Amino acid sequence: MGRNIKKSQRVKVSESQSKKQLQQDLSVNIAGIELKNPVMTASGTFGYGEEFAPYLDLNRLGAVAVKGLSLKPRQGNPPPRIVETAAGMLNSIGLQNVGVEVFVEKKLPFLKKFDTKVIVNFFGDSIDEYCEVAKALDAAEGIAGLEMNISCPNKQEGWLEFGTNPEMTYRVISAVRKSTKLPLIVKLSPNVTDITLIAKAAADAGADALSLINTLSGMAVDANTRRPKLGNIIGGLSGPAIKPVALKMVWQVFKAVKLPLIGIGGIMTAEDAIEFMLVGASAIQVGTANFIDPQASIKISDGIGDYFKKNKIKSVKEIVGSLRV
Amino acid sequence: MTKRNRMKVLYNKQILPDYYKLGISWKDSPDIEPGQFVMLRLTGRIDPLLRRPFGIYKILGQGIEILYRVVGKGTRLMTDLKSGGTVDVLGPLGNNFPVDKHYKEIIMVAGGIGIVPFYTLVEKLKVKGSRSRLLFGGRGKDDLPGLEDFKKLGIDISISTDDGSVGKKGFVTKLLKKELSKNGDYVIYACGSKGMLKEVARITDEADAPCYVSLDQAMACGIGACLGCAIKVRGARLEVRGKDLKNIPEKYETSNLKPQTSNFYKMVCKDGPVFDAKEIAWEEI
Ligand SMILES: Cc1cc2nc3c(=O)[nH]c(=O)nc-3n(C[C@H](O)[C@H](O)[C@H](O)COP(=O)(O)OP(=O)(O)OC[C@H]3O[C@@H](n4cnc5c(N)ncnc54)[C@H](O)[C@@H]3O)c2cc1C
Ligand SMILES: Cc1cc2nc3c(=O)[nH]c(=O)nc-3n(C[C@H](O)[C@H](O)[C@H](O)COP(=O)(O)O)c2cc1C
Ligand code: FES
Repeated sequence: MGRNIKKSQRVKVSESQSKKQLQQDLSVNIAGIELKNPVMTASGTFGYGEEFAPYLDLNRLGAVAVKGLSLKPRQGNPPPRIVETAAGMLNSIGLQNVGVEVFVEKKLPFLKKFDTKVIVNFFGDSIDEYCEVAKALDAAEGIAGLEMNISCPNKQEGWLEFGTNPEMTYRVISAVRKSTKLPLIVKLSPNVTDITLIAKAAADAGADALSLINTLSGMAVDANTRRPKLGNIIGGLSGPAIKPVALKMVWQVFKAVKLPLIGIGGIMTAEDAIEFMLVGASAIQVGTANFIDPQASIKISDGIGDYFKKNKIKSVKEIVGSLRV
Repeated sequence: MTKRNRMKVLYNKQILPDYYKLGISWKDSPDIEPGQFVMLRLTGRIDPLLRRPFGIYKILGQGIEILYRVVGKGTRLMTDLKSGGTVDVLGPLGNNFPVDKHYKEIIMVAGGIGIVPFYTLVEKLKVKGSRSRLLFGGRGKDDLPGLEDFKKLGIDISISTDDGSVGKKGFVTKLLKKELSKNGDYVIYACGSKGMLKEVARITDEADAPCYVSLDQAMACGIGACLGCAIKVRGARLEVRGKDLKNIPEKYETSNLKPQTSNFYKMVCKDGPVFDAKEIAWEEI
């Protein structure tokens, strides 16, 4: 399924899709990227798309955000890399990825066959690396937009995460802004004291949209062995446990900046997705839920359609930020 | 073809204090190879959150049988499953024990729940006419799940327990050492704790005997997407006993860089769970 999909088939799929959309318009434009529905898959939870292709029709997704890329391949952290926690999971993958070159040559051609938007998540450990990755991606065909992960330590400045300091956030985004013409989504870290300061810095530096949140920093300990449960000792928390934190941060940022927002964090159902829209998200990303049900993303998309129908909502715009307070 | 489906529970019965057998109805089940696994979820539950990996113990006429050990929250909840209930199954996943090459004798080394991949393997090998021998170790007499099933298969079985309650007292690797002191045309397949497998790998390496191990690593997706189930393997240029391992990390498929000499990660769910024992960087495990 999906593999080697013919052009004619592809057109067919999008026609039936658009028929559906005549009744329920789920389309939304984020930073100039036209999404057929507001559901994307979150970076790092959907591989490069091909891993999930046997389980769901990628054509039905608003967008696929791929695993974060760096300039050179990275091998990642020592195992164990995964541990389940109450209503969530910690991961310490360590940003393992194939690097920009292999992605463009080997992974992107597969994704291009589908009628969905490809959002490329990327990172670096210096401003130079961020810019070089952005340039390399700018030159490739078939990428709808970039998602810049700023939860990454700055090698040249004491390994402080770019996204935890407004000034560093500003510098790295303005540099990347000059390196690419592609729509630039900046993905914010929740591990900060005031996320609105970072969001404003990102907006000032030229971000076209913001996505939030990345994982919450955390750790797990085994009382019997007295050892950390992750090889890297600390990791990132995701899943239903982080939804309340994510909702709050989207709401805060929605009030603070004018940019379109993409809500992420513990979205398991369409209802969760609607909650994010109510607090200000124009689109959402499904992360950990992909592991529990590989079809979670398209079920959520269908569920949003049902909610719109039931509540006579005509477009995404109508509901974004419409929280009754 | 891999499937995901809601499936009916046929039975769920306790066979030993800590071990259960779960029969699942699977009409038109795809071809399942010895060593493959499924990711299982209790229908409708998001606590526990992640699916749990389980090997396929038996292939039934219209389904599969899972043999599981109760260790934590997920497996404890599984004991409540009743006939007529449902579970969500994703699979079959992963690779399998290689059965193409013919060996006169197959030596299987299992520790406790590590017995799981071997039932379908023996069935398959029987067809091929290989002689198989099972070395089965456990902590005690209640830690040898499925032993009765294997007795019925009519293969040679040697048992060891840590407490000496059945069979030889001591680790199963002691039995293996004795086996390997005889010369023969054999291959070793092993599944059990990492400690046991490490020792099996050491012994077989010393004896220069081919050995395949099935590994266990915490998983989230089971399909190679999250990169959570990483295991260190040896790089291409680290030739082991003159054999090139052909372990080339993905990044070098296209670039003109020299093949990598250092170790790197593979994914247990997708590249495994079965690996050539020589491939694993045991010193890093
Ligand atoms: C490819 C593969 C095949 C497997 N096949 C089988 C099988 O056929 N039968 C079977 O009983 N089990 C099998 N396992 C192990 C099984 O997946 C775990 O025992 C199960 O996930 C534990 O879930 P839980 O919720 O009960 O435990 P948790 O609450 O998650 O953990 C409880 C305790 O068990 C330990 N634990 C958790 N996960 C594992 C694990 N993967 N391996 C070892 N210890 C673990 C934890 O460290 C903790 O101490 C397999 C694992 C893999 C990777
Ligand atoms: C296994 C795993 C790997 C991830 N890798 C990345 C990554 O490479 N880049 C990134 O920006 N976010 C990464 N994330 C964060 C997710 O994209 C998402 O922001 C986070 O998991 C919260 O959403 P969720 O609760 O729906 O999973 C990863 C998350 C998980 C669970
Ligand atoms: S469990 Fe996700 S890559 Fe193996």
